[in-house]
Amino acid sequence: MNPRWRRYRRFFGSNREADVDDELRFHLDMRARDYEQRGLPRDAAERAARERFGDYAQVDAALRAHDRTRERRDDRRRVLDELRQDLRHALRGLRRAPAFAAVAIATLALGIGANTAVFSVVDAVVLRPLPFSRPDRVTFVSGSTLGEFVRLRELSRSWSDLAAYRAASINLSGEGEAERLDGAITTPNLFSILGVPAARGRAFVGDETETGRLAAVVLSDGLWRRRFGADPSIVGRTIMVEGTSFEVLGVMPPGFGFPSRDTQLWIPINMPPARTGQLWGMGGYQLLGRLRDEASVSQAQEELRALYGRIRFENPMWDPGPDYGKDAVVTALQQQLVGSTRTMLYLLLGVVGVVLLIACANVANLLLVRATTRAREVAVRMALGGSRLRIVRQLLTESLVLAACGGICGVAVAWVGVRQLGRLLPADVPRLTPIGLDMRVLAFTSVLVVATGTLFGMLPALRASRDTQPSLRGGARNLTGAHRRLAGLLVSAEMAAAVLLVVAATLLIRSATALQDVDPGFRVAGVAAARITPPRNRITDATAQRDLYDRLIARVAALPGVEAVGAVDRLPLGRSPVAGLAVRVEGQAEDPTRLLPMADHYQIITPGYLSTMNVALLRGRGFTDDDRPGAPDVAIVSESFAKRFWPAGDAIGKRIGNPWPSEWITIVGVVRDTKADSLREQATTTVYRPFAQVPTINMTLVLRTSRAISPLSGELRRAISGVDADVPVSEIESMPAIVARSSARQRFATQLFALFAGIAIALGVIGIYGVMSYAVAQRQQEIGIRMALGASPADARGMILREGGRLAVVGIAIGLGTAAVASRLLGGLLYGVTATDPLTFAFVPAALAVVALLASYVPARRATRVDPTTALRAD
Amino acid sequence: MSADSRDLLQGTLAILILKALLGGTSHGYGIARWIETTTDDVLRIEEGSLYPALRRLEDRGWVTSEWGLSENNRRARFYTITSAGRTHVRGEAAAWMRYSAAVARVIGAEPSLI
Repeated sequence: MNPRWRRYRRFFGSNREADVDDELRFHLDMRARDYEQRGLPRDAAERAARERFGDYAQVDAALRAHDRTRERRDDRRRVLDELRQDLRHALRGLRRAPAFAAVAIATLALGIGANTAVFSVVDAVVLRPLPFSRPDRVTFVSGSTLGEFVRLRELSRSWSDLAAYRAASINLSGEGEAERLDGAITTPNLFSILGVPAARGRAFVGDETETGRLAAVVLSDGLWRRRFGADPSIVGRTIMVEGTSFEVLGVMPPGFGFPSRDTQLWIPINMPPARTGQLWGMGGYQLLGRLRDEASVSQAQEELRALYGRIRFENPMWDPGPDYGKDAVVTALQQQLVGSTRTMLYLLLGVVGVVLLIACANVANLLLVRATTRAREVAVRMALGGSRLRIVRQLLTESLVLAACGGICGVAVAWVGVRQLGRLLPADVPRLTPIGLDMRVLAFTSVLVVATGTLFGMLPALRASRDTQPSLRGGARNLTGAHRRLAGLLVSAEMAAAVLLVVAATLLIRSATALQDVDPGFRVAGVAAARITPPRNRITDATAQRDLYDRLIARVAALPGVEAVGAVDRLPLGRSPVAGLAVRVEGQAEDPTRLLPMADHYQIITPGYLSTMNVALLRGRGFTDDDRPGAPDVAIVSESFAKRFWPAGDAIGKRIGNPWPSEWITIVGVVRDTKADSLREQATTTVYRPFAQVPTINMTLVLRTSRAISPLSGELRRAISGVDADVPVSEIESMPAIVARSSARQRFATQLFALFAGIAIALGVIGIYGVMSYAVAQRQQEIGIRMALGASPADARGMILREGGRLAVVGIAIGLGTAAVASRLLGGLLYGVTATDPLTFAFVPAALAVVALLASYVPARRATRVDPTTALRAD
Repeated sequence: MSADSRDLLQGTLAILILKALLGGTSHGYGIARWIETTTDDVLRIEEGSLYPALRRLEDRGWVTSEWGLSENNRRARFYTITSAGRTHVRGEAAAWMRYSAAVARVIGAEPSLI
């Protein structure tokens, strides 16, 4: 590097091209003058000089090119040099102010860490493309019965193929304890539609259903490793599925799971021959299609609706009505999977974003304070010729170094946070991709670091490099007014953001409390549930089912401490929804080929169920052992059901029917409404049927006990395997846990909002405290004068408190305004409170005002201890 | 001109320029005049080629340049040899001496061969 050359260049700046010209012309002129002095005429002298010089244009061009290159290289070098200098300077500066550095880095680490952790969840759940081949072409298709599936698959042109599947609990037995696994029953083409081949062996490819090769199973990587010890010769082996021998066709690659990440095995649908009426009675399936390249989602949806119009009358069981299929939709797989989760996660991302902004405001404040103490240094540097740009850049480098340190610590915070989040995340949030800190997330963090560093650094840097004259002339006092105003603004903004988050958190907490107080209509405390899934090959007919459950119930009822036992086919608020059923109602809707009214829920129960669950009987009677096959068909309905169809009269003795031609069923009892799918449900119409009359294979035992669940569950398992060793029992859960899980999403949002609101308050308090302490320190002289002139300590205290109060009030007002608008975004998460709940909007500002005053109180007290004489002598 | 002889010429030119600057700071024209006088104008170099050569010397850190005023009060660029340049020119000059002495010996010893 050539220092003199550099100094020159900076001085002359941009006339590098003119310089080349000057230098060469000087040479020609001198040479010509020489020739002239030797006696040549002027023009001849000039010609001779040119001749002697050679190719002027070529030399000129060569020099220009050379200088350009050199300038670029020098610039690069200079920038790097300065950057190195700035970095050294920044690190030295931070080492010299360890308290400042620690507070700033900790604040940033919290903000950046929280954002990184939440982003990693958002990325895995919402943003990352699903791990399937061209996932954007895979769509969900409205429809649920196999009848619809078969016809749509034949008729549609938009999809290259359609599959039908449903999640199911599948029993695996033999070689060890019988166990119940999350699995899926699917048409064989599911894997080819998703475009994922098996890792070993093969997935279903063609027509396992049509050729009658029903007994084939595909395993997940996890199941293969766990249960079969990663046996390399697994393909072709026979395993016991639902008590029947199934041949293992293949093992899917690690990480593959569909419809959920926990799906462990897939078996083909046992489909009756096409075009039989039976297909239309097999519902509960989801349809998945791979769009042809030329088809768009909206075109496909249009075709789908038209097709539903065509197949409307093919359903041999009932007429689905003129509106059938009018609202059929086609949605991209990812959109369908993440649907409602996306809103919640984006809200959360917004919340941590606000936390980060607060953190930025805090650090900006600290930097402002620091800038004041360094004003003289900056002023001297500028007076010595440092450009403003250069100084801003140097101060920004310091901010970026801070941000980078914050980022590194933030990744550590996120590393812990991601684990916690993964644990808290409600089970129904789809997780087809694993959540963790990967390169994508770290890239996001890096962007965040640069953005935050610039954000909190820019303002103080610009401020510090302006108006440096006063600090050269005298102390830093003249600057502090402007700094304090800016700092005050930042603190108000922090308070506003804190109010916003605390309002949101309070609304959610109030919703959670309201949900907790909801009476589900049945007893929760002291009730436990255990799902029973007998092997289908052994418990084949109705008699066997009745017999099994009679014996199970008798055996469990005899356990010590068990007060009552019952069974239900689908547990309210359990993992799977309690499906509804269309009903005929005598005298009101009798024609099964017409559109029939729906009961929200349809439950099959044993006589002991209602009393075990304390579901209040309002009229008539409960089921008894006499309600058995051969006896008249009976039903119990919920209060809302009775009100809906017989608003004036009595439902007892009225008759309803299945949605196909069958005997009438007499209503013998009316019970209170119960919440079956969610605590938010209103006025649920439910139909109960006695298990003995409509037996089914999978039931959930419910029992009421005064004992703790955990010691009981061992006895329960032994009792059940004592009745039949091949009957697997799922986890035995307490009803309170089940009910809590049903609002897990709510709780997840509430906990996190509360956590982040707490952080926001803490940062806000630190902000106010910092600014007020600083104000007191800076105004010592003023306070001293006032006190010397007779102001009491109370006056001084009041002055500081008033200033802190003003900042808080401005912030709180802005925060309330924002919250009133933004809280609407919470929409679906709220229960029992409105988005502008007056109590919340009164309580939060009051509470935060108190907190803000407390934060200013400590510095205010310090103000009263100012000794006038010392204060006046200072500086 | 072949690449070899241009390299030779460039190397020669570099030596000449550095040698010229050993006498003191000078602008490009001054260097040209020095070469002209010292060699009795035997080499008759194209003076334009001095400047790219000076740039290359500058890049290698053997000379530095600075704008100043010429003897007739015009703005001119002055070149100064650096200590690295001095070291270099001493080494090169020694090599040249050996080389030319060898050539001279060959030419003087075997006149019949010419």
